[in-house]
Amino acid sequence: MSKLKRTLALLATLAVTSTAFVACGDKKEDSNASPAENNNSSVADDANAGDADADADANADADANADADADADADADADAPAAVGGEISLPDTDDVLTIVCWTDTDLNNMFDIYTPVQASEVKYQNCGGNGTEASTQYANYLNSGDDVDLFVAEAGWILNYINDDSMSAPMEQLGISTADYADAYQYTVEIGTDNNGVLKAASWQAAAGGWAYNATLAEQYLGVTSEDDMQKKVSNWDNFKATAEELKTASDGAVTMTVSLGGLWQAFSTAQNAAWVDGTTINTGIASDFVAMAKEYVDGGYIDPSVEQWSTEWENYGKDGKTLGYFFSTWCLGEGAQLDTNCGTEGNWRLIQGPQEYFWGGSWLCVSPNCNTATEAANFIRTFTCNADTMEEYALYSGDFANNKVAMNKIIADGSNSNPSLGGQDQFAVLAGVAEGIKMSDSISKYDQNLKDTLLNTLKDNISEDADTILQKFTDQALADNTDLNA
Amino acid sequence: MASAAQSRIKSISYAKYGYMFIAPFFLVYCFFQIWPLIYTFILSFKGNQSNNAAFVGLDNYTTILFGQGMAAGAAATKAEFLQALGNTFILWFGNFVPQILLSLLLAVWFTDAKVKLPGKGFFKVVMYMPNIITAASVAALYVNLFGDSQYYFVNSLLMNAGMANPIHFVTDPVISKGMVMFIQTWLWFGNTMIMLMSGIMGISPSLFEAADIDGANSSQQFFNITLPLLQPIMVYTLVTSMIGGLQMFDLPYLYHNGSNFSRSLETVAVYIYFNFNKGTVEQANYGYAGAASIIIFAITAILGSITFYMNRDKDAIAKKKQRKMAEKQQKARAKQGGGLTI
Repeated sequence: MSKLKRTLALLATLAVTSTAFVACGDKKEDSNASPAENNNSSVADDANAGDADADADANADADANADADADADADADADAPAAVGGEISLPDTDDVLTIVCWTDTDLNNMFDIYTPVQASEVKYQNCGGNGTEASTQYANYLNSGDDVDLFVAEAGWILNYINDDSMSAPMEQLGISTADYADAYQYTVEIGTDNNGVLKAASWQAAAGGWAYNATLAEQYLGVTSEDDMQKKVSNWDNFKATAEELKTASDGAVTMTVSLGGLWQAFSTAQNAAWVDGTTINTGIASDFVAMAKEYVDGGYIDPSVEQWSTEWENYGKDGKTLGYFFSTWCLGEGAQLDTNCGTEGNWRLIQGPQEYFWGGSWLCVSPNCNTATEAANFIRTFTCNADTMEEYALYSGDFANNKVAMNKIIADGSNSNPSLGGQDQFAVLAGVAEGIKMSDSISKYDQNLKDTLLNTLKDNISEDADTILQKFTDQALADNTDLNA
Repeated sequence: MASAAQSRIKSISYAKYGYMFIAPFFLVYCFFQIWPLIYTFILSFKGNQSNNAAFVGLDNYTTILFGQGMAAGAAATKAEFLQALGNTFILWFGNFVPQILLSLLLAVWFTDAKVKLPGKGFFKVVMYMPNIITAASVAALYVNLFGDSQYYFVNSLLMNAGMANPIHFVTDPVISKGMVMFIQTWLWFGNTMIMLMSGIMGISPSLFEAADIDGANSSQQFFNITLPLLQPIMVYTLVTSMIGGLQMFDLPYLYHNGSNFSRSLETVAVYIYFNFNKGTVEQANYGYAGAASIIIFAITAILGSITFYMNRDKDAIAKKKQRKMAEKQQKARAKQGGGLTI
């Protein structure tokens, strides 16, 4: 009797203890069960009913990867991009390809194109946030042990991830090498290469930017009717400011030249052509020049500094006709992206190069060391970063400037693209020249996102102070945040 | 005389089963509570960012408290930490004082037999209600009501009524602090009120009746009966509120628009969060975060002890002293008598 009691007590104890540690599990195979996915992840439908077979084959042949590829592709549609190239050394043990992202606009477009050719289920996990926040969410997610095969990283913080082998795996392990990117814009390959010269990330876009303006307002207040005339009025920073003054007088201050400091910063910082951090020293020259410029624009009333970049209010400025234009990068111009949401599809907006050729961010696909859907992952990367045909399709479908010279030149030559929000204009023709000229790889550092956020926030909070005080506050905050750096 | 069986039964100890039953709790407690606590101490002696593996002694403490350390931004770090500490005290004080006054007033009204307030139960529920909503929802609610521009409810109302410029409820350093204090008070006064009511109801009604008969008016009753006898509950409220207040995180952190967090609302808890939660391990300042945690722990411990010391039952202590003295005297007398009591 007492033995029974003791056994029961022991069992109860064990049960309680083991359930208490249940969350410590380091690898969750069935990520479908995660409740967080209900509202922010989308599962692309399976391509065909034969998927299960394809997966079974792929699993059985895990060692002979070439065979697995063949099996998976055989069951997919005939026009599926063939998985060519080097040997895949990552495992193929899962049947769901999970892509971690911080915004789902691009991936939704990609999935629409990828669904017909996929061999296994593909879904994304949206961590949300932008800038430093997104990077932090990623670190938390990737450390949680939940399923992740690929993740999308942004220029501002990608260096933290590709230079950390516990976060990212070489592309080579998916059989993809630098040679596959002969037609890509070279800077995307340089940024995707880590400190040891290993290719860790590939981008599907060349993030060239332009200035989108409201043609109705331009005609009303500035008497400008064509894109060329508008470009002349804002062809450099001096003209840009003069036009801003003209607009302010003509509209009695009701219409601002542009909205937040964020866009101005991107165009401005490109012109500096210098890194934020030189070794471990912050390049405060960039900050002091920008503070001076921002003060000038805010004091002149050309810009409203209190508006938060990407906020509803920021969108409303475009919708309500309270601003002449926005600095928009390629990823703002697609369907469902900022051009669409801020400016509507009435088609009275136009894109021009603006005062400064610039580029803004851009996203790279990185491979997680825990990738366990290697064949599908390799296929996905090839479809959107190497294959000219599918990248052309993606560019036309999404309005994003694809990272493939062949595809983009073909679209421009064919005249096959027209953007309804821009009244049928082909934004690629405007951006093509800018994309060629992007030399970003020398000027990005892993501190960029943090320093940029700090500068813009300091400016916003202290815009009424004088320039020296703002600069001092920025330097203080930047140094307090980054113990590795000095001024 | 006890039989062999009886003495055997006496020697059987059931204690080990007790230990067995509480073992799971302690195991989990050690793993999830004790170890992280110890680890925080360890981290506070280690470096930041790429230097995070190195042992740096008291460098983090000297940096955040005195601005003297290895990092180039030591002075700025100290300024930020001290500002955060100041903010913490301001925000705590600013919500505790109105909260306790309001709760006390309401608790007295609700428990007073002479004030026959109709719908007491309804009011109690309504006043406690905000406490049920999560801070995240409350912050979202207030940010959307009190947004900085004319696109938000309160400002659009005010501007339609003739105000020229929107009030910056969210970003202005002073107004935003006031807003957070107000929200905190609104969230917690119901909870404090219920606690004080239970304290007041624990006071024997005969005391109030006696005071009535002796002709004491309500304010005399309040200051001479209710308040002194409510002291234990008040101390409890003060201590729990202080611990909560020093660790205040949710509202100050959530009460901002977009990604632009306003530094004027940065409490120590937010400071700690910002320093450890910054992208990858190489970007985080674990050392500063650890040191700040230990400092706030020390401050809480010191303030807690002071509160308890000041509020200890002075009568009981005096009585204890007297009793001890009497015992001593008795012993001394016994010694004098050669250990013989006659």
